[in-house]
Amino acid sequence: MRFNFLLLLAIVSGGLYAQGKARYTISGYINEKGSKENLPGANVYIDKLKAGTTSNAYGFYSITLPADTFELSVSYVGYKAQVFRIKLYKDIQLDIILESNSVLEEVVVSAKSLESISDEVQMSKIDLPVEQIKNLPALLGEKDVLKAIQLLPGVQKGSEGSSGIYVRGGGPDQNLIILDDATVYNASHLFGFFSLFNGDALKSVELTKGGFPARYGGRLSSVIDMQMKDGDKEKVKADVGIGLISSRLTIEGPLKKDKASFLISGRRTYIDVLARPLIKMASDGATVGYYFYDLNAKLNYTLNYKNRIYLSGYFGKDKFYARSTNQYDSVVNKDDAQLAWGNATGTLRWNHLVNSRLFSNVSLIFSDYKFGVDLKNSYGKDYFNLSYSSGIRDYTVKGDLDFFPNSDHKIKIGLLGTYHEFRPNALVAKGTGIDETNKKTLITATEAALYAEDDYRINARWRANVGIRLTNFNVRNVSYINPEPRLALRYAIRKTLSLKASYAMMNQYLHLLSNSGFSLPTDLWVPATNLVKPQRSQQVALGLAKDLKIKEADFLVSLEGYYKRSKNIIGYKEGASFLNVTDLDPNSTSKYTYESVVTSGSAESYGAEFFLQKKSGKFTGWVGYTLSWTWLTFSELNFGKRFPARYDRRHDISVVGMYKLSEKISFSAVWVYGTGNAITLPLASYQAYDQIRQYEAQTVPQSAINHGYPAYMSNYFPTVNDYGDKNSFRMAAYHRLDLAIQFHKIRKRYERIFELGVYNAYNRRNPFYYQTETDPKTNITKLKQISLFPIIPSISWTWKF
Amino acid sequence: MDMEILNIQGRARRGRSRILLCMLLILGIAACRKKDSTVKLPKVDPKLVVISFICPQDTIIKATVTLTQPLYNNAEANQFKPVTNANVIISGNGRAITLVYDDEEEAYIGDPDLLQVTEGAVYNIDVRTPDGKHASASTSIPASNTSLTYNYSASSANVTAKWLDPVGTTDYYRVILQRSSYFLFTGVGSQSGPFADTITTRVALAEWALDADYTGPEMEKTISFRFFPQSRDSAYLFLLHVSKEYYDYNTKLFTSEVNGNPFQEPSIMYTNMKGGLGVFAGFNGYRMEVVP
Repeated sequence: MRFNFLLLLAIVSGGLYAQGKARYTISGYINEKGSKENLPGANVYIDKLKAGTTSNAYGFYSITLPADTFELSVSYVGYKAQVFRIKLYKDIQLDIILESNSVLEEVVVSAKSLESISDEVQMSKIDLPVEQIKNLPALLGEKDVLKAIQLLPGVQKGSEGSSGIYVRGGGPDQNLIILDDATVYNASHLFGFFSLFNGDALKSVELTKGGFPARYGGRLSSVIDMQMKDGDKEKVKADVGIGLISSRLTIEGPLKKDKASFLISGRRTYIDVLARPLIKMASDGATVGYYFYDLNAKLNYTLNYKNRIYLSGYFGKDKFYARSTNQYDSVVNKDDAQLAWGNATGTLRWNHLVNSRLFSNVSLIFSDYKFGVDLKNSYGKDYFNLSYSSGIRDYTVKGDLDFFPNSDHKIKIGLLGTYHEFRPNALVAKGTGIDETNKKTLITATEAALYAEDDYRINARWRANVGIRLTNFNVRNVSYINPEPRLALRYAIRKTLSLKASYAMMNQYLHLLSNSGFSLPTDLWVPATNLVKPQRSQQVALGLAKDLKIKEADFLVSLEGYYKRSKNIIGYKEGASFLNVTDLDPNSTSKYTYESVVTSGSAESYGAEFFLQKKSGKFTGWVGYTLSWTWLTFSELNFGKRFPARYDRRHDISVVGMYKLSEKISFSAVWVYGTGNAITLPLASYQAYDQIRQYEAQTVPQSAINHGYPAYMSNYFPTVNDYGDKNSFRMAAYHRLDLAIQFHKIRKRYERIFELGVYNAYNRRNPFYYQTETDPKTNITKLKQISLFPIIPSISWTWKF
Repeated sequence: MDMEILNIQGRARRGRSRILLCMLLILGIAACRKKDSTVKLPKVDPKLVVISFICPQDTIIKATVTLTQPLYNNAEANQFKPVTNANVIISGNGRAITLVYDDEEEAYIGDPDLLQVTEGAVYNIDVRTPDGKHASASTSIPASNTSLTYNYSASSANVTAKWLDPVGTTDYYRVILQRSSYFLFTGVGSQSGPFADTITTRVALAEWALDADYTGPEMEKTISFRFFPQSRDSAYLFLLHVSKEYYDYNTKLFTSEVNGNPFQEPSIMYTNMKGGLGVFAGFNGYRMEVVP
């Protein structure tokens, strides 16, 4: 099938080639003025020929057209559009420099985007400008990419403050989060209250919720593709930020003018330092602290016009520590506990321009996530040391080809191979009086994918992206091979109004074992095995996209409906506890393997999403509304009856507004609303009866032995809860308003931004979880709602040099 | 896995859960979490809870009837008094009996000779209270499996029960080894003077067996057991062929019992009682004495 598909592509493109007059290619890189930063996704359009293309992830574009004279426009959101007069009678290399509209003298942002949402074939995709993320109000002033993504339709947050992402009914494990092509496995700091991604180091953030092109795979629900900035090629720049809980610093600049540049960006929290006296009081003299840091670094080197090399990396760590020393009867007791987790990724990429129509990239990618606990205890001369760790490590080789045969086709072909190392459980323990334990589990797996896709402009009305991805996963003695067809279609009803449809099949060979509700560092990635099958989803989406211009302001409106079915998703068995899993080796015969506590089922989600965005002018922002249903069916849960997912959210609304009052002052506001989570809550209890209680000895006088069969030996009446159906209780709805005001002070040599923000401005007590409390005197139990964040003001400064 | 590793893993697990709880605590302090007023709850009406197991070997037919208690804002929570004024009827195979409330048993009891629980038959329970509550359920009695044999090994201290499973049906079994140790107890009672009575200590070891887990008709289950003749041990091996209701209720009970582990997933208790909670489940037993 794949062979036939490629053959078909060759025939189609070859056929188109052969016809008509001589054709020539215009190609080059699109860069930002000043920094020379590559601009991915910039639009190149020739109105006369109704032909166009977009720059690829490295800012390269190529378009092959019949010989002619025409005007070529280049545009990019947030940049001034440029128009070139072209006489195309030979191949032309045209590198384009676009000037940012956010340069200081410019007040009104008026991006003229010629390739618009209605022209694009891809649906269910939203680009989030990084500058916009920085303008949004944020919890404690910490700007957060993932939380900005939560404000888009079709994307829901988990619990209060969490950066967990639920896309179209999918779980947080079903999102492929990639930073410079490297998979990031645990994208959160501090239980998900902050995400890993530091906006200062990012160039672009793109979210795809459906209609996935064949180049993406490996997760069921979404792709969050982030690109790091390359680093300014002209001059050294610095960006310093000081906030309530953290500070950050970014330095970028040229290493060799126009040839090489670097970027390094770091962030560290200091709540541990600030909160130490408070915690010392609360924890009886022990030293307890927590911090996280992250560091992004990138180097790029242009060998020559045809060859470029990029090296980028991310390192981040969260650390929690507790130390105490006590004395009991003149014996010194020392406790030292540490809990740390973090990601490290590295990507080495080589761009090679084979010719003006063929662009290649080869990447070597490393990704590692590790969670570890170290406990040290000494009591006099006795000691006990224990270290436990778990993690996942990937080594990936990836090759991609972008082929631009003519203006109607844009073909991408690629191959990817990953070697996964799962270390679900490593335990080293030693101490006085016990034998040393050194137990490690290593599971290795290989994952491979081959893809081909063609973005094909069939005619002025029809455009399609046809693709196929062939995936393979091998773990121990099991091998899975799955073809994944992908299709996206666009039909232009009018010039600015189009109808879109898409279909995508996705397979996911990894599962996340996670305690529901929180994003804890103990969440563990495990491979699909012969017992726990890979997850698979199929999604269809249908939508309308419209570009609008009202009084010089650009709007886009999109309305999409989707239906998604997933199977082999995992859930915990009822009554299972994650903390009872001691053995994560799938080949183990132990009773407590992860396969014994999980059960697999299917999910069905459907809904509609509305998105209205104002892209230009003094006032920008958007309104997103999602109406959705997510049902789960597990044969072992809820007696096989379907039940709503915890994050089944009937209504989800986000309103985001940014207003630039003057050069010096800007405002922003975010209001969100979401239906409460569906949870299982006991409302009543009752007495059950255990006819035969195991291992229970009873001493009873012979005379009192009851009749019955087998002789009733148990008088055991355990109390059980009446929960009703699973997830039949709705928590209170969630809503919140955040506000921020930014004051810009512009000097010759620097710019200073001073920001005041308020999180949860009207102090809504949003439910985080429910807890019972029993009054010991009256024996009356009450159900209390626990809220996490009241109104929280924040203050931060940023200096740009 | 030897005990040493288990012990260390237990310590590791405890350490891990302790540290997680500690983190949550500190997070709680740092985030100035707020406890709000009591959550508004939907009104919960008490439901009838009926539990009855029946089998052909029964020496008594028994059904307990209680009510659920609202968990919140209720001083009587977790106190379950029997419902004494219900009308409890068990019927099936052309017969019907009305069970009578018995104070000592705190349950409704009936004479098995009048009901004559028969294998293959379907039975119904119907419970009504004067205030209009109504619960009902039905179950069937599986066939007795008399193909039971056993093998006692003194050296490895276990009993292996073996039996043949009928082909073509889904069957659930419960294998029980019941040991009784008898002691003659003599003493002085507070009022009635010297007395002597036999004290029986009973231990039951039970295992589930599902035919779905076996490839052929031959099924077996091994239970650890060692005879101690000095305590006048006697042991019986029971093979209960149980209904699906019996299996679902009892296995679910194991994970549904309220135990206070905050990391445990809620477990929804099984019921086949329409209009209420609890279970009405049939089974059929066969027993033989284990002789060393």
